[in-house]
Amino acid sequence: MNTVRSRIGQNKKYDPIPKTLFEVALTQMSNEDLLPAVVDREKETLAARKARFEKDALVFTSQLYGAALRYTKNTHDAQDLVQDTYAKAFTSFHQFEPGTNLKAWLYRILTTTFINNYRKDQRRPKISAGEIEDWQIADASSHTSDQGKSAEDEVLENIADKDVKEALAAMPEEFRMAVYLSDVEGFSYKEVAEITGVPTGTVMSRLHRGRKLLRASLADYAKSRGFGSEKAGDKK
Amino acid sequence: MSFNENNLIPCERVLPNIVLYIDHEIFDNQELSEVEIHFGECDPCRSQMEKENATLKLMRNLLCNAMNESAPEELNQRITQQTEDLYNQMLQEGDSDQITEITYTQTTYTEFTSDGATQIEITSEIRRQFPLE
Repeated sequence: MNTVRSRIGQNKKYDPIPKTLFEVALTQMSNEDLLPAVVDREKETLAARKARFEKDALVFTSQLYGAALRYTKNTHDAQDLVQDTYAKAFTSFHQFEPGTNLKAWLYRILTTTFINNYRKDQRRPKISAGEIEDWQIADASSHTSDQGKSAEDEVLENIADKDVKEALAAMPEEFRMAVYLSDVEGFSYKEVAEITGVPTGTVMSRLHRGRKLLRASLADYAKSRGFGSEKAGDKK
Repeated sequence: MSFNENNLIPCERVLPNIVLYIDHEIFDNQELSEVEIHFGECDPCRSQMEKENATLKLMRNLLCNAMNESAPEELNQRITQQTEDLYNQMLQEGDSDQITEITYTQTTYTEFTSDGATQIEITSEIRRQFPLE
């Protein structure tokens, strides 16, 4: 595990950000849980493979349905997309290497199926020339002055679920999916890169821009709903 | 605050990496340690990191609460049935690599005649294709 935060040196250190639930769960697992089940795919019967598929893959239907809704933006296509994903996954399950990331593998199939069979606009979203690097330069060269919880954050707390869904759905696909896969599904940059088929640097850029875009959009929703309008007025 | 004593790395090297730190995406232990030591010593950087982290946490909570859809029961049934159908098809054909489509019948519409005595069921044959790349 190279993500373990070790304490070295005598300097006082900031207490690291609490681990995610997933990381906590990992530390509580026994070796047996962590070791991949040994599956000899050469000798595995079709019946055994089907049983393994039903046990390991079918638990992700709700999560894949959520992602499918983000891609297709309607329940009918989302259901068909998830069903097609499972058809493709089952018939190529012998190609999946046991012990590797099954969830990410299924998301990858979902994404390619969406692109090939469902996306209305078949052109891939363009990656602009500056997209890869500019995320690092953007608003990260100096300290911001205000302390504590920002007024904008407080405003966002009141926003309705429906508005959050709408705001995300309105974003361009590449930003929408980077934010969704990272911030809702909890995939790492590398996993998002594998799922969406773009370099990690592009994922970082899309995630950074997508989060900013979404936050600005949510602030607009909040304003139009009447939260925070006083605060905005106070500033002037 | 761009001093460089006690081997403290400058703020300019920390600030662009705050988002990576928050996202647990710094995998180099040396680099991670340098950043954490910096947060321990530099209040402006630490408070900025805490602020960005709070905002991101809030956004994530908003997103997760708004989007926790469950797969409809009907979809789960369709997938279970489809797996069963594909399995039988694969058993017959013997070579799983070749299957790129499935045909099945699905009841799409049920109606009662006006006198209520007879039930009409419309079933259709559906062929789904899923070409492998």
